[in-house]
Amino acid sequence: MSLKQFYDNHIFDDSLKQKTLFNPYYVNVQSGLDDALMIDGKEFINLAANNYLGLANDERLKKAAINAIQKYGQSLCATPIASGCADLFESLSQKISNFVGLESSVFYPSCYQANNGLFQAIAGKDDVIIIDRFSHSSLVEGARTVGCKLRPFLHNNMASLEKNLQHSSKHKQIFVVTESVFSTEGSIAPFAGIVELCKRYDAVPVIDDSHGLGVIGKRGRGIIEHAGIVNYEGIYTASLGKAMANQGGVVCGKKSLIDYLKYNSSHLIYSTAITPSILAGIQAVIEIIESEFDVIGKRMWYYRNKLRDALIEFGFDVKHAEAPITSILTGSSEETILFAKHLYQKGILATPFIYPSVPENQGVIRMIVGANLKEPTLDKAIEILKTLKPI
Amino acid sequence: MNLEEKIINLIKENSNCKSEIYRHSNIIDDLNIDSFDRLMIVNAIEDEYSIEVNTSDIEKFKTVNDIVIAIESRYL
Repeated sequence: MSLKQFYDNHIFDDSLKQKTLFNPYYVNVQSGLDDALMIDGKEFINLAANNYLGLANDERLKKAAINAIQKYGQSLCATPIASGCADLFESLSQKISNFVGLESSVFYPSCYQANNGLFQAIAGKDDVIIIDRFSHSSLVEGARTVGCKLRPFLHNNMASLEKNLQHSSKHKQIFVVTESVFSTEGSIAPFAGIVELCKRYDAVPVIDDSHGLGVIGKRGRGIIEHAGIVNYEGIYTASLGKAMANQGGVVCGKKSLIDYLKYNSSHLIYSTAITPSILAGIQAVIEIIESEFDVIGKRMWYYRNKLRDALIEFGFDVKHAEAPITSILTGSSEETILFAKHLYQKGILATPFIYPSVPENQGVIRMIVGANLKEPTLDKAIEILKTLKPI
Repeated sequence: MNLEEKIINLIKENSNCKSEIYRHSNIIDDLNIDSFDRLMIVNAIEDEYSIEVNTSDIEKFKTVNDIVIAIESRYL
Protein backbone atom coordinates (compact mmCIF):
# COMPACT_ATOMS: atom_id res chain seq x y z
CA MET A 1 0.00 0.00 0.00
CA SER A 2 1.34 3.42 -0.93
CA LEU A 3 1.63 6.19 1.62
CA LYS A 4 -1.12 8.06 -0.23
CA GLN A 5 -3.45 5.04 -0.03
CA PHE A 6 -2.67 4.72 3.67
CA TYR A 7 -3.60 8.32 4.38
CA ASP A 8 -6.65 8.09 2.11
CA ASN A 9 -7.84 5.16 4.21
CA HIS A 10 -7.65 7.19 7.39
CA ILE A 11 -9.77 10.23 6.75
CA PHE A 12 -12.43 11.30 9.24
CA ASP A 13 -15.91 10.99 7.76
CA ASP A 14 -17.35 14.47 8.29
CA SER A 15 -20.61 13.87 6.38
CA LEU A 16 -22.64 14.54 9.52
CA LYS A 17 -20.83 17.84 10.00
CA GLN A 18 -21.53 18.71 6.37
CA LYS A 19 -25.23 17.85 6.76
CA THR A 20 -25.73 19.71 10.04
CA LEU A 21 -23.10 22.43 9.54
CA PHE A 22 -22.08 21.82 13.12
CA ASN A 23 -19.37 19.92 14.94
CA PRO A 24 -19.99 19.67 18.70
CA TYR A 25 -16.68 17.95 19.36
CA TYR A 26 -13.32 19.41 20.39
CA VAL A 27 -14.76 22.86 21.15
CA ASN A 28 -12.16 25.44 22.17
CA VAL A 29 -12.87 26.19 25.81
CA GLN A 30 -11.17 29.39 26.96
CA SER A 31 -11.98 29.37 30.68
CA GLY A 32 -12.22 27.12 33.70
CA LEU A 33 -15.50 25.55 34.78
CA ASP A 34 -16.96 28.65 36.35
CA ASP A 35 -20.59 29.71 36.33
CA ALA A 36 -20.10 30.74 32.71
CA LEU A 37 -17.91 28.89 30.26
CA MET A 38 -16.06 30.82 27.57
CA ILE A 39 -15.99 29.35 24.08
CA ASP A 40 -14.72 31.39 21.13
CA GLY A 41 -15.09 34.57 23.17
CA LYS A 42 -18.73 33.89 24.03
CA GLU A 43 -20.31 32.93 27.38
CA PHE A 44 -21.95 29.52 27.56
CA ILE A 45 -24.02 27.69 30.18
CA ASN A 46 -22.11 24.48 30.70
CA LEU A 47 -24.33 21.42 30.97
CA ALA A 48 -21.74 19.18 29.32
CA ALA A 49 -19.03 18.63 31.91
CA ASN A 50 -19.08 15.79 34.45
CA ASN A 51 -18.36 18.38 37.12
CA TYR A 52 -21.20 17.03 39.30
CA LEU A 53 -20.12 18.69 42.54
CA GLY A 54 -18.81 21.78 40.80
CA LEU A 55 -15.38 21.49 42.37
CA ALA A 56 -13.16 21.72 39.27
CA ASN A 57 -12.57 25.44 39.75
CA ASP A 58 -12.72 25.46 43.56
CA GLU A 59 -10.09 27.70 45.15
CA ARG A 60 -9.08 25.04 47.71
CA LEU A 61 -8.42 22.49 45.00
CA LYS A 62 -6.42 24.96 42.94
CA LYS A 63 -4.39 25.98 46.00
CA ALA A 64 -3.60 22.33 46.80
CA ALA A 65 -2.44 21.73 43.23
CA ILE A 66 -0.32 24.90 43.17
CA ASN A 67 1.30 23.98 46.51
CA ALA A 68 2.14 20.55 45.11
CA ILE A 69 3.70 22.15 42.04
CA GLN A 70 5.75 24.42 44.31
CA LYS A 71 7.02 21.36 46.20
CA TYR A 72 7.41 18.73 43.47
CA GLY A 73 7.38 20.67 40.22
CA GLN A 74 5.12 19.80 37.30
CA SER A 75 6.15 16.17 36.89
CA LEU A 76 8.51 13.56 38.31
CA CYS A 77 9.24 12.52 34.71
CA ALA A 78 9.20 8.80 35.43
CA THR A 79 6.92 5.80 35.57
CA PRO A 80 5.57 4.96 39.03
CA ILE A 81 7.64 1.79 39.27
CA ALA A 82 10.82 3.79 38.61
CA SER A 83 11.00 7.13 40.40
CA GLY A 84 7.62 8.65 39.47
CA CYS A 85 5.86 8.11 42.80
CA ALA A 86 5.61 11.21 44.96
CA ASP A 87 4.95 10.36 48.61
CA LEU A 88 1.44 11.65 47.90
CA PHE A 89 0.89 8.56 45.72
CA GLU A 90 0.99 6.26 48.74
CA SER A 91 -0.78 8.52 51.24
CA LEU A 92 -3.57 9.29 48.77
CA SER A 93 -3.88 5.59 47.97
CA GLN A 94 -4.72 4.97 51.62
CA LYS A 95 -7.05 7.95 51.77
CA ILE A 96 -9.09 6.98 48.72
CA SER A 97 -9.20 3.33 49.83
CA ASN A 98 -10.71 4.38 53.17
CA PHE A 99 -13.05 6.74 51.34
CA VAL A 100 -14.58 4.09 49.08
CA GLY A 101 -14.32 1.34 51.71
CA LEU A 102 -11.60 -0.93 50.31
CA GLU A 103 -8.14 -2.10 51.39
CA SER A 104 -5.78 -0.62 48.82
CA SER A 105 -5.59 1.43 45.62
CA VAL A 106 -3.31 2.32 42.74
CA PHE A 107 -3.52 5.30 40.37
CA TYR A 108 -3.35 5.13 36.59
CA PRO A 109 -2.94 8.12 34.25
CA SER A 110 -6.54 7.62 33.10
CA CYS A 111 -9.48 5.36 33.89
CA TYR A 112 -9.36 4.10 30.30
CA GLN A 113 -5.86 2.82 31.03
CA ALA A 114 -6.96 1.50 34.41
CA ASN A 115 -9.76 -0.56 32.86
CA ASN A 116 -7.60 -1.80 30.00
CA GLY A 117 -4.59 -2.47 32.20
CA LEU A 118 -6.66 -4.33 34.75
CA PHE A 119 -7.92 -7.00 32.36
CA GLN A 120 -4.56 -7.32 30.64
CA ALA A 121 -3.03 -8.17 34.02
CA ILE A 122 -5.66 -10.44 35.55
CA ALA A 123 -7.47 -12.26 32.74
CA GLY A 124 -6.40 -14.86 30.17
CA LYS A 125 -7.73 -16.78 27.18
CA ASP A 126 -9.33 -19.53 29.28
CA ASP A 127 -11.50 -17.06 31.19
CA VAL A 128 -14.92 -15.60 30.56
CA ILE A 129 -15.87 -11.96 30.98
CA ILE A 130 -19.58 -11.39 31.47
CA ILE A 131 -20.26 -7.74 30.82
CA ASP A 132 -23.27 -5.42 30.84
CA ARG A 133 -23.97 -4.64 27.19
CA PHE A 134 -24.04 -0.88 27.91
CA SER A 135 -20.64 -0.86 29.61
CA HIS A 136 -18.15 1.88 28.77
CA SER A 137 -15.78 1.45 25.85
CA SER A 138 -12.77 1.22 28.21
CA LEU A 139 -14.24 -1.89 29.84
CA VAL A 140 -15.35 -3.44 26.56
CA GLU A 141 -12.03 -2.83 24.83
CA GLY A 142 -10.14 -3.99 27.91
CA ALA A 143 -12.16 -7.20 27.93
CA ARG A 144 -11.81 -7.73 24.17
CA THR A 145 -8.02 -7.47 24.22
CA VAL A 146 -7.82 -10.49 26.53
CA GLY A 147 -9.13 -12.71 23.74
CA CYS A 148 -11.25 -14.78 26.11
CA LYS A 149 -14.92 -15.66 25.87
CA LEU A 150 -17.00 -12.50 26.06
CA ARG A 151 -20.59 -12.72 27.25
CA PRO A 152 -22.56 -9.46 27.16
CA PHE A 153 -25.74 -9.50 29.25
CA LEU A 154 -28.82 -7.33 28.89
CA HIS A 155 -28.47 -3.98 30.62
CA ASN A 156 -29.01 -4.24 34.39
CA ASN A 157 -30.90 -7.50 33.80
CA MET A 158 -30.25 -9.99 36.60
CA ALA A 159 -31.97 -12.89 34.82
CA SER A 160 -29.78 -12.38 31.76
CA LEU A 161 -26.68 -12.16 33.97
CA GLU A 162 -27.57 -15.34 35.86
CA LYS A 163 -28.25 -17.24 32.62
CA ASN A 164 -24.74 -16.32 31.47
CA LEU A 165 -23.25 -17.34 34.80
CA GLN A 166 -24.99 -20.71 34.58
CA HIS A 167 -23.16 -21.41 31.32
CA SER A 168 -19.74 -20.21 32.44
CA SER A 169 -18.58 -22.87 34.88
CA LYS A 170 -16.18 -24.50 32.42
CA HIS A 171 -14.01 -21.36 32.34
CA LYS A 172 -10.97 -20.91 34.57
CA GLN A 173 -11.91 -17.50 35.96
CA ILE A 174 -15.26 -15.77 35.69
CA PHE A 175 -15.46 -11.97 35.76
CA VAL A 176 -18.70 -10.00 35.95
CA VAL A 177 -18.14 -6.46 34.73
CA THR A 178 -20.44 -3.50 34.97
CA GLU A 179 -20.63 0.20 35.71
CA SER A 180 -22.28 1.77 38.72
CA VAL A 181 -23.88 4.72 36.96
CA PHE A 182 -24.44 4.36 33.21
CA SER A 183 -23.57 7.84 32.11
CA THR A 184 -25.58 8.15 28.92
CA GLU A 185 -28.89 7.65 30.66
CA GLY A 186 -28.22 7.74 34.40
CA SER A 187 -29.34 4.23 35.33
CA ILE A 188 -27.63 2.56 38.30
CA ALA A 189 -26.57 -1.10 38.41
CA PRO A 190 -28.32 -3.36 40.96
CA PHE A 191 -24.89 -3.97 42.37
CA ALA A 192 -25.77 -5.63 45.69
CA GLY A 193 -27.64 -8.30 43.73
CA ILE A 194 -24.80 -8.65 41.24
CA VAL A 195 -22.31 -9.21 44.07
CA GLU A 196 -24.58 -11.87 45.57
CA LEU A 197 -24.83 -13.66 42.20
CA CYS A 198 -21.04 -13.50 41.86
CA LYS A 199 -20.65 -15.19 45.25
CA ARG A 200 -23.06 -17.95 44.21
CA TYR A 201 -21.20 -18.66 40.96
CA ASP A 202 -17.59 -18.05 42.13
CA ALA A 203 -17.24 -15.02 39.90
CA VAL A 204 -15.15 -11.90 40.49
CA PRO A 205 -17.21 -8.69 40.30
CA VAL A 206 -15.59 -5.68 38.62
CA ILE A 207 -17.36 -2.34 38.98
CA ASP A 208 -16.47 0.93 37.26
CA ASP A 209 -17.71 3.70 39.55
CA SER A 210 -16.60 6.63 37.39
CA HIS A 211 -19.95 8.43 37.53
CA GLY A 212 -20.77 7.21 41.05
CA LEU A 213 -17.70 8.24 43.03
CA GLY A 214 -18.45 11.57 44.71
CA VAL A 215 -22.03 11.42 43.46
CA ILE A 216 -24.05 8.52 44.89
CA GLY A 217 -24.19 7.07 48.38
CA LYS A 218 -25.33 8.94 51.47
CA ARG A 219 -21.89 10.57 51.90
CA GLY A 220 -20.94 10.62 48.21
CA ARG A 221 -18.62 7.66 48.55
CA GLY A 222 -19.92 5.85 45.50
CA ILE A 223 -21.52 2.56 44.61
CA ILE A 224 -20.30 0.47 47.54
CA GLU A 225 -21.89 2.88 49.99
CA HIS A 226 -24.95 3.34 47.76
CA ALA A 227 -25.55 -0.42 47.52
CA GLY A 228 -24.88 -0.98 51.25
CA ILE A 229 -22.21 -3.59 50.53
CA VAL A 230 -20.03 -4.63 53.46
CA ASN A 231 -16.63 -6.29 52.92
CA TYR A 232 -16.70 -6.03 49.12
CA GLU A 233 -14.33 -8.69 47.79
CA GLY A 234 -14.29 -7.69 44.15
CA ILE A 235 -12.47 -5.09 42.08
CA TYR A 236 -13.36 -1.40 41.88
CA THR A 237 -12.26 1.17 39.30
CA ALA A 238 -13.13 4.83 38.86
CA SER A 239 -12.24 7.93 36.93
CA LEU A 240 -10.90 10.83 38.96
CA GLY A 241 -11.88 13.35 36.30
CA LYS A 242 -15.61 13.53 36.91
CA ALA A 243 -17.07 14.47 40.32
CA MET A 244 -13.52 14.11 41.66
CA ALA A 245 -12.67 17.10 39.43
CA ASN A 246 -9.12 16.04 38.57
CA GLN A 247 -7.64 13.49 36.20
CA GLY A 248 -6.53 9.87 36.17
CA GLY A 249 -8.05 6.58 37.18
CA VAL A 250 -7.91 4.36 40.21
CA VAL A 251 -8.18 0.64 40.82
CA CYS A 252 -9.11 -0.38 44.37
CA GLY A 253 -9.43 -3.78 45.99
CA LYS A 254 -7.61 -6.25 48.17
CA LYS A 255 -4.05 -5.21 48.99
CA SER A 256 -2.61 -8.41 47.53
CA LEU A 257 -4.26 -7.72 44.16
CA ILE A 258 -3.20 -4.06 44.10
CA ASP A 259 0.39 -5.10 44.88
CA TYR A 260 0.14 -7.63 42.02
CA LEU A 261 -1.05 -4.92 39.61
CA LYS A 262 1.84 -2.65 40.61
CA TYR A 263 4.24 -5.22 39.16
CA ASN A 264 2.12 -6.82 36.42
CA SER A 265 -0.04 -4.14 34.82
CA SER A 266 1.93 -2.75 31.89
CA HIS A 267 -0.50 0.16 31.42
CA LEU A 268 0.61 1.33 34.87
CA ILE A 269 4.23 0.27 34.87
CA TYR A 270 5.11 1.84 31.51
CA SER A 271 3.11 5.08 31.78
CA THR A 272 4.51 8.26 33.29
CA ALA A 273 3.05 8.52 36.78
CA ILE A 274 0.08 10.74 37.50
CA THR A 275 1.48 14.14 38.52
CA PRO A 276 1.80 15.32 42.14
CA SER A 277 -0.45 18.34 41.52
CA ILE A 278 -3.25 16.01 40.41
CA LEU A 279 -2.74 13.79 43.46
CA ALA A 280 -2.90 16.86 45.71
CA GLY A 281 -6.06 17.99 43.92
CA ILE A 282 -7.73 14.61 44.48
CA GLN A 283 -6.80 14.75 48.15
CA ALA A 284 -8.38 18.21 48.45
CA VAL A 285 -11.58 17.03 46.76
CA ILE A 286 -11.90 14.03 49.10
CA GLU A 287 -11.55 16.39 52.07
CA ILE A 288 -14.21 18.73 50.67
CA ILE A 289 -16.60 15.82 50.05
CA GLU A 290 -15.99 14.47 53.55
CA SER A 291 -16.95 17.77 55.13
CA GLU A 292 -19.46 19.29 52.70
CA PHE A 293 -21.26 16.56 50.76
CA ASP A 294 -24.47 17.18 52.68
CA VAL A 295 -24.70 20.68 51.26
CA ILE A 296 -23.13 20.21 47.81
CA GLY A 297 -24.93 16.93 47.17
CA LYS A 298 -28.29 18.49 47.99
CA ARG A 299 -27.67 21.34 45.56
CA MET A 300 -26.60 18.89 42.83
CA TRP A 301 -29.84 16.94 43.22
CA TYR A 302 -31.99 20.08 43.51
CA TYR A 303 -30.60 21.39 40.22
CA ARG A 304 -31.00 18.04 38.51
CA ASN A 305 -34.62 17.67 39.63
CA LYS A 306 -35.44 21.23 38.64
CA LEU A 307 -34.07 20.71 35.11
CA ARG A 308 -35.65 17.26 34.70
CA ASP A 309 -39.09 18.42 35.87
CA ALA A 310 -38.99 21.42 33.54
CA LEU A 311 -38.01 19.30 30.51
CA ILE A 312 -40.81 16.83 31.21
CA GLU A 313 -43.26 19.74 31.51
CA PHE A 314 -42.06 21.12 28.15
CA GLY A 315 -42.79 17.76 26.50
CA PHE A 316 -39.27 16.42 26.00
CA ASP A 317 -38.74 12.67 26.00
CA VAL A 318 -36.61 12.50 29.15
CA LYS A 319 -34.94 9.19 29.99
CA HIS A 320 -35.64 7.81 33.43
CA ALA A 321 -32.51 8.30 35.53
CA GLU A 322 -31.56 7.39 39.07
CA ALA A 323 -28.37 9.46 38.97
CA PRO A 324 -28.09 13.27 38.66
CA ILE A 325 -28.00 13.08 34.89
CA THR A 326 -30.72 14.35 32.54
CA SER A 327 -30.86 12.88 29.06
CA ILE A 328 -33.32 13.71 26.31
CA LEU A 329 -34.02 11.19 23.57
CA THR A 330 -33.37 12.90 20.26
CA GLY A 331 -33.55 10.13 17.63
CA SER A 332 -31.15 9.79 14.73
CA SER A 333 -27.55 11.00 14.73
CA GLU A 334 -28.50 13.93 12.49
CA GLU A 335 -31.44 14.96 14.69
CA THR A 336 -29.25 14.70 17.78
CA ILE A 337 -26.46 16.87 16.36
CA LEU A 338 -29.01 19.39 15.11
CA PHE A 339 -30.53 19.65 18.58
CA ALA A 340 -27.07 20.14 20.08
CA LYS A 341 -26.52 22.85 17.46
CA HIS A 342 -29.73 24.68 18.46
CA LEU A 343 -28.62 24.57 22.09
CA TYR A 344 -25.14 25.79 21.16
CA GLN A 345 -26.52 28.67 19.12
CA LYS A 346 -28.52 29.73 22.16
CA GLY A 347 -25.54 29.52 24.49
CA ILE A 348 -25.91 26.07 26.06
CA LEU A 349 -23.22 23.42 25.82
CA ALA A 350 -24.62 19.89 26.24
CA THR A 351 -23.29 16.48 25.23
CA PRO A 352 -24.75 14.67 22.20
CA PHE A 353 -24.41 10.88 22.10
CA ILE A 354 -24.85 9.28 18.71
CA TYR A 355 -24.30 5.84 17.15
CA PRO A 356 -22.08 3.90 17.88
CA SER A 357 -21.92 5.33 21.44
CA VAL A 358 -25.64 4.53 21.66
CA PRO A 359 -27.78 2.15 19.55
CA GLU A 360 -28.73 3.47 16.11
CA ASN A 361 -31.56 6.05 16.13
CA GLN A 362 -31.46 6.26 19.91
CA GLY A 363 -29.37 9.41 20.14
CA VAL A 364 -29.52 11.45 23.32
CA ILE A 365 -28.50 14.87 24.54
CA ARG A 366 -27.08 14.57 28.04
CA MET A 367 -27.12 17.39 30.55
CA ILE A 368 -25.37 17.49 33.90
CA VAL A 369 -25.89 20.55 36.06
CA GLY A 370 -22.77 21.14 38.13
CA ALA A 371 -23.40 22.24 41.71
CA ASN A 372 -21.17 25.27 41.01
CA LEU A 373 -23.77 26.87 38.73
CA LYS A 374 -25.78 29.74 40.16
CA GLU A 375 -29.50 29.09 40.23
CA PRO A 376 -30.32 32.02 37.87
CA THR A 377 -27.95 30.42 35.35
CA LEU A 378 -29.92 27.19 35.47
CA ASP A 379 -33.16 29.19 35.24
CA LYS A 380 -31.83 30.85 32.11
CA ALA A 381 -30.98 27.44 30.61
CA ILE A 382 -34.51 26.24 31.40
CA GLU A 383 -36.01 29.32 29.71
CA ILE A 384 -33.93 28.60 26.60
CA LEU A 385 -34.97 24.93 26.56
CA LYS A 386 -38.61 26.02 26.79
CA THR A 387 -38.24 27.78 23.45
CA LEU A 388 -36.91 24.66 21.69
CA LYS A 389 -39.63 22.43 20.31
CA PRO A 390 -39.17 18.77 21.31
CA ILE A 391 -38.18 16.57 18.39
CA MET B 1 -41.18 -24.97 18.28
CA ASN B 2 -39.01 -25.37 15.18
CA LEU B 3 -35.46 -24.03 14.80
CA GLU B 4 -36.54 -20.83 13.01
CA GLU B 5 -39.07 -19.95 15.72
CA LYS B 6 -36.57 -20.77 18.42
CA ILE B 7 -33.88 -18.55 16.90
CA ILE B 8 -36.33 -15.68 16.41
CA ASN B 9 -37.27 -16.01 20.09
CA LEU B 10 -33.63 -15.98 21.13
CA ILE B 11 -33.06 -12.83 19.05
CA LYS B 12 -36.02 -11.16 20.80
CA GLU B 13 -34.82 -12.22 24.24
CA ASN B 14 -31.20 -11.19 23.69
CA SER B 15 -31.35 -7.83 21.95
CA ASN B 16 -33.04 -4.47 22.15
CA CYS B 17 -34.84 -5.21 18.89
CA LYS B 18 -38.38 -3.83 18.93
CA SER B 19 -39.24 -4.69 15.30
CA GLU B 20 -41.11 -7.73 14.05
CA ILE B 21 -38.60 -10.43 13.18
CA TYR B 22 -38.99 -12.57 10.07
CA ARG B 23 -36.79 -15.23 8.51
CA HIS B 24 -35.72 -12.81 5.76
CA SER B 25 -35.04 -9.90 8.17
CA ASN B 26 -31.63 -8.29 7.75
CA ILE B 27 -29.93 -8.24 11.13
CA ILE B 28 -28.44 -4.76 10.80
CA ASP B 29 -30.78 -2.90 8.44
CA ASP B 30 -34.11 -4.28 9.69
CA LEU B 31 -33.38 -5.19 13.28
CA ASN B 32 -30.68 -2.67 14.30
CA ILE B 33 -28.66 -5.48 15.87
CA ASP B 34 -25.17 -4.30 16.81
CA SER B 35 -22.06 -6.38 17.47
CA PHE B 36 -22.85 -6.84 21.17
CA ASP B 37 -26.43 -7.94 20.44
CA ARG B 38 -25.06 -10.39 17.88
CA LEU B 39 -22.68 -11.81 20.46
CA MET B 40 -25.50 -12.17 23.00
CA ILE B 41 -27.67 -13.94 20.45
CA VAL B 42 -24.92 -16.35 19.42
CA ASN B 43 -24.08 -17.09 23.07
CA ALA B 44 -27.74 -17.84 23.71
CA ILE B 45 -27.91 -20.16 20.68
CA GLU B 46 -24.74 -21.93 21.86
CA ASP B 47 -26.23 -22.38 25.32
CA GLU B 48 -29.56 -23.61 23.97
CA TYR B 49 -28.08 -26.26 21.68
CA SER B 50 -24.80 -26.99 23.55
CA ILE B 51 -22.72 -26.05 20.52
CA GLU B 52 -19.84 -23.67 19.83
CA VAL B 53 -20.25 -21.39 16.83
CA ASN B 54 -17.08 -20.37 14.98
CA THR B 55 -16.25 -16.66 15.09
CA SER B 56 -15.84 -16.67 11.30
CA ASP B 57 -19.44 -17.88 10.94
CA ILE B 58 -20.77 -15.20 13.28
CA GLU B 59 -19.28 -12.47 11.11
CA LYS B 60 -21.03 -13.88 8.03
CA PHE B 61 -24.54 -13.71 9.52
CA LYS B 62 -26.46 -11.07 7.59
CA THR B 63 -30.04 -12.31 7.93
CA VAL B 64 -32.03 -14.48 10.31
CA ASN B 65 -32.08 -17.04 7.52
CA ASP B 66 -28.25 -17.14 7.50
CA ILE B 67 -28.27 -18.06 11.19
CA VAL B 68 -30.95 -20.73 10.78
CA ILE B 69 -29.18 -22.36 7.82
CA ALA B 70 -25.73 -22.24 9.46
CA ILE B 71 -26.94 -23.73 12.72
CA GLU B 72 -29.01 -26.42 10.98
CA SER B 73 -26.35 -27.46 8.47
CA ARG B 74 -23.14 -27.14 10.46
CA TYR B 75 -23.88 -27.44 14.15
CA LEU B 76 -26.87 -29.73 14.76
